Amino acid sequence: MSIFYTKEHEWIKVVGDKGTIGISTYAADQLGDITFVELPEVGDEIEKGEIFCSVESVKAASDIYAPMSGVITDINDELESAPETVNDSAEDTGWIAKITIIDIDEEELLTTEEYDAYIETLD
Amino acid sequence: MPDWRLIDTGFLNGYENMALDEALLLNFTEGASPVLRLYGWEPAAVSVGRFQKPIDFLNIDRCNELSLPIVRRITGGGMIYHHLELTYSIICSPEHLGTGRKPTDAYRKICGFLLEFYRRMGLDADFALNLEQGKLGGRENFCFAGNEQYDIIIGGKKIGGNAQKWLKHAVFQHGSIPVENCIERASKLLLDKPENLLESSTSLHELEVNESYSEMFAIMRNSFFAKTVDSELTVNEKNSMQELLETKYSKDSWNNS
Repeated sequence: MSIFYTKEHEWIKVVGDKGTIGISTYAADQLGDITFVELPEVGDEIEKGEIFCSVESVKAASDIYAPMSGVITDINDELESAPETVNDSAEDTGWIAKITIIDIDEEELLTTEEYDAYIETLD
Repeated sequence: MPDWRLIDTGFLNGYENMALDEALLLNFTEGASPVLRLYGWEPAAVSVGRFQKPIDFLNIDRCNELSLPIVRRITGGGMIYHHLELTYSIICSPEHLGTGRKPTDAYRKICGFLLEFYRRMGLDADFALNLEQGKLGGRENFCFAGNEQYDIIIGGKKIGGNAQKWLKHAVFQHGSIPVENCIERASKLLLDKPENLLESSTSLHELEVNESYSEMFAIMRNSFFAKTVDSELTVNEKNSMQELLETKYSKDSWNNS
């Protein structure tokens, strides 16, 4: 299993050709109290770097970008009734979607250590 | 800090106003000058937040009887009845605000200029954060029913409301400054009225501020946190607005789905 991050603060946990996607704890803290998650639909094809879902926090609409290209196989529909789970556990139970990865492309993605160093530069 | 483009687009209808807001954001590229747009609404219109479903909380038949257009915003937040109000929008990068990518930091900076605007009108305004305003945050169908940290309170009542949209390189915020209090008219459009709605919000006229729109625009400009220069819409911005109007903001699939 490998975990990668984007500079836009998404993470993807990769096992074989399966990926689980969410936003980072840092992003969830920055966004503030998340009040709505607009989930993608199972079967949607998502493209690396493109918007695949959106969240609302403090009356702000923010887009979430796909860390890898793939096809959505599952969504965390518990977020529909409990979007605050993303704040409580962004990198575990607050996952957003699972995908079958079309192309395991690690270019421009960061390892955990690289991402931690990157967010240090932002504060 | 670069000069900001100040664009006064006057009074437009709801579809045009929201198409133009999005057009300005889409045309804001990295390195571009930041924008402060000032505008009004004619005729009256209802705007709903990006993620709201009008059918869940709005009496659509009543809106239709009143020929009241419903338009969806690109920003979060709740429904607003727009009529006798001043509206602003801001399109910039987080660097232009001197903040990071934290929405509340951007609200603090941008709403700081609104606070200055109200104070220059002689009003005792403060952020909800600094007052005993009950619970902050949460999600309300009606924008003026809930308080966020940097909403502005005068005499214990909320005035106006603000909402944001974030892109990778840009922050967009718009908000309304009510000249007349349209809360009663707005509340008749809701399927369920929040409690104490009429008592919890105010307007400039209720606060005995009677400056003309042009006088208020001038005060807004002078209250802004950066230097502004008069500007016009570019050809690209006008073309984007027209395209968005035709393909998105005139369609039920965007406004009312």
